[in-house]
Amino acid sequence: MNNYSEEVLIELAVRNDDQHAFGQLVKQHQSTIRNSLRQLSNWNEALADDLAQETFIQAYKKLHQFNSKAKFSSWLYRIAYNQFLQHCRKNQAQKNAADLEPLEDHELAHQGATSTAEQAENQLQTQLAALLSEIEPERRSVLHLLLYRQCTQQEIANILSLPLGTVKTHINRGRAELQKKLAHWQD
Amino acid sequence: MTTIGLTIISFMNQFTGKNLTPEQLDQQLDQLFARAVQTEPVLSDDNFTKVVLNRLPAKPKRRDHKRYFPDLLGLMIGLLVASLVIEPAQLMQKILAYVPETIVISPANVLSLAMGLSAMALLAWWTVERNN
Repeated sequence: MNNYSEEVLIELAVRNDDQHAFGQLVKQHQSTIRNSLRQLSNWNEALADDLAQETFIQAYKKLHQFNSKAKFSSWLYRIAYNQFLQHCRKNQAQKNAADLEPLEDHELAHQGATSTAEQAENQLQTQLAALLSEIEPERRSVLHLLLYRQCTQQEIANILSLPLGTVKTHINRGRAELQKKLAHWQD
Repeated sequence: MTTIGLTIISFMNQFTGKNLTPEQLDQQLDQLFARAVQTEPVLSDDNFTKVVLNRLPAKPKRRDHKRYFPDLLGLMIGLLVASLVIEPAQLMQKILAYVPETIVISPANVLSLAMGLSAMALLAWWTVERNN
């Protein structure tokens, strides 16, 4: 089953309800989805993994709706960003920012990063996540897709179901915000 | 690894003292994120896939029309044969003969009807729960 293409695995999961095939799809995409959600959630690993699990469960439920001509990773991103935005809306309603609090440096040093090189790599990732966390969730998702996933504006509009004009506005204003914040960090 | 020890501050320090245009500031931002993309960690699966698979809901079986086709064909043939063999007027008379001319509703009848309905509801609930 490891050698099957993505299309075949999707077909097996939809037609035969083959959970092993779906498991292969999860294995192939878990790293990028979890990384994206970590970036968006200010590197809160537990929250990001919970949202990633929910993303794959939703994907399994809606797999029969997936258009085989579309890109599977983009479809997964769409579900993941919806999960993230849904979580933010819930949090906003409860005014509970605890979930999106960054992890302390000493915590990060213990979690997963085994060597100095890995810790240094993690440092850049976590700092960028902290930088992005200062921007409102929808704009943050747009900037993440543009700068981190290097999607085109049209792809971002499709993934987030936003009008192209809104995406462009988010990009222009988001870039300006990021530059201001970077300058502030430098000071 | 070229990015060991790289932080936002160390990256930004390369540009200190330079008057950057808005386009250059955009490029600077792109470069910073490009570095992050290059060093994006590949997360090991550990038990992630297993946890997801354990949490997957059971999908309801979808009706397969091909599988039901022989049953449907058998039913049609049966109805056709029955309509040829059985006289409809005679059949109706025989069925009506079973209907009583008067119906008496006593408390015992109501009680047994209620018990029957309760038993059927319980059976339906148990069947649904067992399937879940």
